Amino acid sequence: MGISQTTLPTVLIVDDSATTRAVIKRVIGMTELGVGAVLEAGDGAQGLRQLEHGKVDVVLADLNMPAMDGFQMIAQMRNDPRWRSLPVVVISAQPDPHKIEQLKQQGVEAYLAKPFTAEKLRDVLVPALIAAAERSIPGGQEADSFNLSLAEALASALETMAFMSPELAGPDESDAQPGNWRVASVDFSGQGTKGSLALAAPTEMVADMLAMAGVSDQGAAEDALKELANVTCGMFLRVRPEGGMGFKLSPPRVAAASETRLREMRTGRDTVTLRADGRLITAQVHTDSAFYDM
Amino acid sequence: MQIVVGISDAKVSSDERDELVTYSLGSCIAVTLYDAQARVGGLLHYQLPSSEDDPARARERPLMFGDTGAAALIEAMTSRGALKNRMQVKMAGAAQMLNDATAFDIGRRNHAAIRKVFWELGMFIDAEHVGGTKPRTMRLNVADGAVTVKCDAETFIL
Repeated sequence: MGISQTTLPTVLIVDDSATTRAVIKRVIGMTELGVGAVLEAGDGAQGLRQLEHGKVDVVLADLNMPAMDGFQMIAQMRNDPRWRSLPVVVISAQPDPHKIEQLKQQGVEAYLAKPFTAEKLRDVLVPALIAAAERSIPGGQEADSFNLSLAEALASALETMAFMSPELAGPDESDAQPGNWRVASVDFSGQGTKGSLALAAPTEMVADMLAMAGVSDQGAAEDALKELANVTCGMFLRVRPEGGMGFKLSPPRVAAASETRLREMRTGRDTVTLRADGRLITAQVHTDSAFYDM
Repeated sequence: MQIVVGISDAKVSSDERDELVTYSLGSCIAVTLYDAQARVGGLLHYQLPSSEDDPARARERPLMFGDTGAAALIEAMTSRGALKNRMQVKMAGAAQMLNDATAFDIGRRNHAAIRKVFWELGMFIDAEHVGGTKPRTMRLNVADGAVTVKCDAETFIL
């Protein structure tokens, strides 16, 4: 897979999570493909400004973002002759297969579902980077099909984060201080139901997740937890293919965990707890109608 | 020659006539590394996710744990001329054995931990055959790096 020195592609990552941007950058580095520059943007509007400023060869875009989301950004790109044929790879937790299909009709090269493993990201990135370097258009990839139980969906999302964290540090279960925990929650509604997903993790653990990715700015720990909650929620809404379409997700919120809340989250049939190296993250789903099966 | 790798054990070979094999992989994980250019292969069979769970034991038996075991295997490979960024990484195991019905049993923990180890090392995992409830046998052919996993009377090429 030779990319010659003269055609090193410039990559633009558009994602509101600094953690996700850092993880994507690291995987690009791991592929050992030559990349000229990696630019970053926190939402669609910033992404378009980056495109105005200089030459970009491939765009990796999230969908669910504040200010201007990925759908709007891609639509604007497709309406502008300068960027109409620019390769776009979408990396998102989009639960609606129709919307993914729409994106493909707009010429999106590939869709990668969050949470992704380093290997899945590589498999999507390598052809996109080579295509960007060679200015040819490879075929798009099929979106993953989902038919997971709730527990599997949650477990899969949590495990993805487990190996991406340099160290699932922080207190283990026995000496966890409730005051040091944060809960990120996402509300969802649609298909005649509404509910919420809450995810709790020790603050130190979330902060340490970012060390490897090289993210150090203020609020990054909460950003990581919000991203994890968002991604987990996206996974969860794929549980029922026919009933899981068209859900609206609220922007994730983060709050300190109360002791009572943590106790509730450690038991119960709608709760999943990940233990890795003796540390834990725990997630809970609440709905006001029984539309999913355990 | 067939070289058997026991539990909490690892072997490295650069002899093309050798095959590395490990049996009775349950919730444990076996990792094979192979550098096709240097023609060096290695196989680790570890039992527990992390040396942090029991540092004293890990000093005595580093091959018992995923993190220290992987580090030791990579070191043994590089001392024979293999390069980290050329190594193919394959793994098998992490079954949920016996009556361990909890969602996050030792097999899952072993799997999450080893993925984390290779993420930290900046190495992709090229293939894996993990999970389920059946024990496995894993083989690495040093001549060409071919890896097979036998599970429930079926043989898979990784």
